[in-house]
Amino acid sequence: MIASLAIVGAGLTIAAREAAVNWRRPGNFLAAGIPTETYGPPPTPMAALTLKQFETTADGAAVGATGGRAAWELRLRQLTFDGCCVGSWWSADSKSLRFVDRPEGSSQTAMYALPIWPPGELPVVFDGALAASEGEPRFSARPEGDISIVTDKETGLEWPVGTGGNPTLVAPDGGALAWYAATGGRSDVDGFNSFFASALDGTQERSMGGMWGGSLLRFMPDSEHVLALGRQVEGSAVYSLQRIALADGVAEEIAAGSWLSDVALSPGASWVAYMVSLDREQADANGIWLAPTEPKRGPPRKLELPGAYRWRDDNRLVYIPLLPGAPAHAVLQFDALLGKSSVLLDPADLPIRVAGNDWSVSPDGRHLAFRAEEDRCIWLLALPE
Amino acid sequence: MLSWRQALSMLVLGGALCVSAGEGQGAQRPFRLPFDAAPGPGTWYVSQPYGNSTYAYAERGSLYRSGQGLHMGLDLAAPCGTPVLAIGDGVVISVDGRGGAPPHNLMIDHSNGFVSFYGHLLQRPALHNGQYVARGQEVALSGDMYGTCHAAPHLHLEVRDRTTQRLHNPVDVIEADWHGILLLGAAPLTFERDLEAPRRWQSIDDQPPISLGGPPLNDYAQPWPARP
Repeated sequence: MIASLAIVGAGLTIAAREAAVNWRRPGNFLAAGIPTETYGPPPTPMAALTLKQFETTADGAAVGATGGRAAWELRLRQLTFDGCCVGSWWSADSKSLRFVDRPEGSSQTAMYALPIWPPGELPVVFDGALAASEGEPRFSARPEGDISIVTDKETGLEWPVGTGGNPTLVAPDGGALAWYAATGGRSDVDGFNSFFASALDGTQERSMGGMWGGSLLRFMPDSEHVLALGRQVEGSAVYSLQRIALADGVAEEIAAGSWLSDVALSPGASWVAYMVSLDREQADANGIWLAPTEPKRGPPRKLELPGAYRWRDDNRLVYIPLLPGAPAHAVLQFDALLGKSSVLLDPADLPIRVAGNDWSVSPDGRHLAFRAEEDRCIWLLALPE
Repeated sequence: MLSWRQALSMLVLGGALCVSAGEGQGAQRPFRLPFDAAPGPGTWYVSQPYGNSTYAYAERGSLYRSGQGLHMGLDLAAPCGTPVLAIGDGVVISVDGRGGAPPHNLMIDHSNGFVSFYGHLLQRPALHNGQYVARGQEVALSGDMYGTCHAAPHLHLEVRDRTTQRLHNPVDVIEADWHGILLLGAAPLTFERDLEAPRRWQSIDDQPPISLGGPPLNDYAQPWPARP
């Protein structure tokens, strides 16, 4: 049983001030203790929300949000101050955010880690050399000239593979490579790109077909298939998303559509989310779609509204509808199994606005971190189930 | 669950607000959007921002060299043949003139210190130099860079000063809900980082002006992410 923990406004005010002071005073933000200076809260209406009492569990998850603005305000918390920072991402355990920054007055840019719990935690240098490979796989490949260099992080060994110097993917299990090569024309537009695979050492190279303007997006988690995107017909606006088996090169079409883009694989690889756009002949086809990666599992299903999307878990997609001019942004959730959306955050309850589509859902699906348009700081929103 | 009534009300609300945003909510920014329709997957969306985009960084020594390594305009993906509207009252000063963005382009002097440039047009605009155009008037059709309509169709929109040699971020002068407009897709549009100044030029509304032919602004010694 998780114990509820009420945190009163006064305490949060102090926490917020600590963070603000320290973050604004490089060299001090790693130090413990309460600063002696007195600073007010950040001068934004949203920041004032941090001064309100909110109820949360000991590990940071919100409880008891049963509707209404007051309840929602309990679920929102400011994490950073002074315009910090763009492009944050989550640690694998969902316990902290990472970002790259050089606070004002600091002489060094570093990768910082900011625990989301308890409130008031300060960013700490996670990797001063910006070389952290937390969560990265053992093997990686980088194009270099007309080859790719494969690196084994554990042993430090490197070896070349004749990929033509093209972008090269490494299977999650470290057992295979895959790459695509332009064979003429403007490869990103209308050239025919061939797909290849090999063992990790470059042996057993084989062709896996290709597509016009085609590319390999990523390996599937099973390491036996890759996702490929391209046109099956030269000059067509219709892009085909395919799952190609490494063993025999057999391709299965998962989805197709006009200028199909923004492919996002669900965490368990059951679904892909993607956008179809600029289709004048079939206007209804334009929008955000979810398709099962096993085509036999049924047809793609479409979100009720277009917008920006991130996966919450293997079956639930969180999205912020595209409603330009709206005074605040809604947060919705599409359940792929049910084929329906539900409202996670009604803007009438809590008016947030996201800057630059800069937001992410924690790997455990419990929180949404976003950069607020108003102050360009990172805020944390606890998501209801 | 999200009912269709809720969805519809959101769409209607959003559409209505789009119009007001596009038409200008105040006097801060002098221009309007170059399209009539609300943004969306079926109409138009931002495909590359002005300035220090990651793509511009990758092309800093080639495609964007003359623009100090930055993307000189705002790319708005749109179906080929989408009517392009003048962003403000003005006078045509160039049809298919210099400025690149083939196969066709158009330049309008707005008499307020700014010149707008519309590139990758589908066909030569049926306008002539000295012709007056009104804000919101259809002046061209959008196309793509190779004139094929299947090579990433988009409008390339630039805002320059009257010398036409200095470029400004269109976002700074076009009235629109830019952060709302960016809410589309699986990931944000990204900007290249200079680890010497990692907060600089990281938003669609925080980008530097460009002087054509000037020295590179993004030849970073420590780029993030690292690129060739």
